Amino acid sequence: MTQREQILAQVGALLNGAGKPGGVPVAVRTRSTALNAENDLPAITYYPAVDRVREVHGRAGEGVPAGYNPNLPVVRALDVDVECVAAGDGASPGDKLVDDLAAWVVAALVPADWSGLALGVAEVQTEFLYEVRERPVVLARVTMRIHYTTRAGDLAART
Amino acid sequence: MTTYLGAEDLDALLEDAGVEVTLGSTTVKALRDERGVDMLDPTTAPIAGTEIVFVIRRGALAGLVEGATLVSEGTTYEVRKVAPVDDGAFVRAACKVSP
Repeated sequence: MTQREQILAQVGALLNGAGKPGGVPVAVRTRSTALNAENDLPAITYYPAVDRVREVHGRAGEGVPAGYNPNLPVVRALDVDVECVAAGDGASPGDKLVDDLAAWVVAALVPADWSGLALGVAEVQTEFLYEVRERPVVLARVTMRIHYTTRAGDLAART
Repeated sequence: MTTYLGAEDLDALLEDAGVEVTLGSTTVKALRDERGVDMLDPTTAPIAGTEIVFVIRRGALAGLVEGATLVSEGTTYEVRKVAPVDDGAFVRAACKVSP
């Protein structure tokens, strides 16, 4: 299993683990079915968004990109997006409702014990999206950046 | 008074298929249209919402503007948007359910 998969599993475990406040829904990874605005909200969905190679340690041969050496350790930055969705009550667009969910995402992931799986975890940004139809719905997309290491040619190796 | 081509047919349709809509002390017949919409375009799966629109004869309800309160079939709505339909004989009032 890749380090990335282990991290995503840990994200799910932390979001649904100890300390989860009442009213915070079960976080689901990468949904494939629609959420019904009438019946399924609030909801939390998390999924891998971008995984960047941040740094390569060591030197490769001249003229050869460092990443071509499969044994070099690389530091990676995995952006995991966590989408928190809630329906407003008619009087409110709902951004206050998703704020509690977004706050839990940060509280669950940043100070957690990652047991060496991650070098560090930080919130990059939280983007709010709004739409009103039969009822107002708001989505807060929390982007969490998780730094970790692999070998350049082996995503399962932690180095 | 402005006349609209085919307005009589629409009046008949309203009478046959319309629902009662009340704004203040005035009640008229309107066509209730409800359709599914995808909301907010999330990355992994859509959010299925509902758009509710009442098609009402233009001028039939004084005060039919954004923010007005409509009552129909026991449900209270707030008007989100009012826009003319085709030649303007009727307007579409998009609504959200009031708390």
